[in-house]
Amino acid sequence: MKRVGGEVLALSTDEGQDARRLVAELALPFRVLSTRGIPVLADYGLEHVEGHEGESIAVPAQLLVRPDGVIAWRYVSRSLNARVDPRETLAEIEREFGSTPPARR
Amino acid sequence: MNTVSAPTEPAARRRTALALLSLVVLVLAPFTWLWTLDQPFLRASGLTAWVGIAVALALAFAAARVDRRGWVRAIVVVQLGALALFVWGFFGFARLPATAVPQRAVDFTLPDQEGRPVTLADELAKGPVLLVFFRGHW
Repeated sequence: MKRVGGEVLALSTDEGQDARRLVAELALPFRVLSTRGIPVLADYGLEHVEGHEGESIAVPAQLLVRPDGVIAWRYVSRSLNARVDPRETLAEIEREFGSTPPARR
Repeated sequence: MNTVSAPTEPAARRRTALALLSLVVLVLAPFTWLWTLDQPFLRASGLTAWVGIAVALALAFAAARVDRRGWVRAIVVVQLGALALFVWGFFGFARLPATAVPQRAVDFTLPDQEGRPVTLADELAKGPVLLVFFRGHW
């Protein structure tokens, strides 16, 4: 994603300290945002109501957003077991932005 | 002279072993799924677990076919119950709700792991963004 001048942002209902621990433990090269108390999941239609111990959490999904705000590609899991293959995401990024990355200002 | 061969000791032991082996395979089957979580296809399909359960069932049936003891038959019932439970877990319990993702990204400002506010519009002004929604870390 960096190569095409883009950013990866991860979102979950984890609170800041959990997100911080996650980033540290896995040495994640991207920012992890907390949606706690903010209806972002509902805005995106990705709210799994009472998905975990009575709390609403995110449906596993990946959205590739073009600079104009259009969601160019999406993966939305239909099962707790299913996650997108990272190779598929990379192929989609490649297909969408190819070898001429939009300039990063 | 006995024309119907009575069950010999080694044969009975083999059948017992077969029945117990089927239980061991059954218990191991779900773990093979946990061990292969980093393989997207195996994770989504549960293939290793399904194969394991199929093998366990086959072993249990093979044991019960030649061994009429009650507990050997009970193992077959346990196996079928486990299969039903696994089918429900995989296709019922694990199913996620239908979603309606908008065509365009909805702007947001959220704190990152250090508490710094991140606004999507600002990030999009610099280039494309991959939003990764995940269930959380606990």
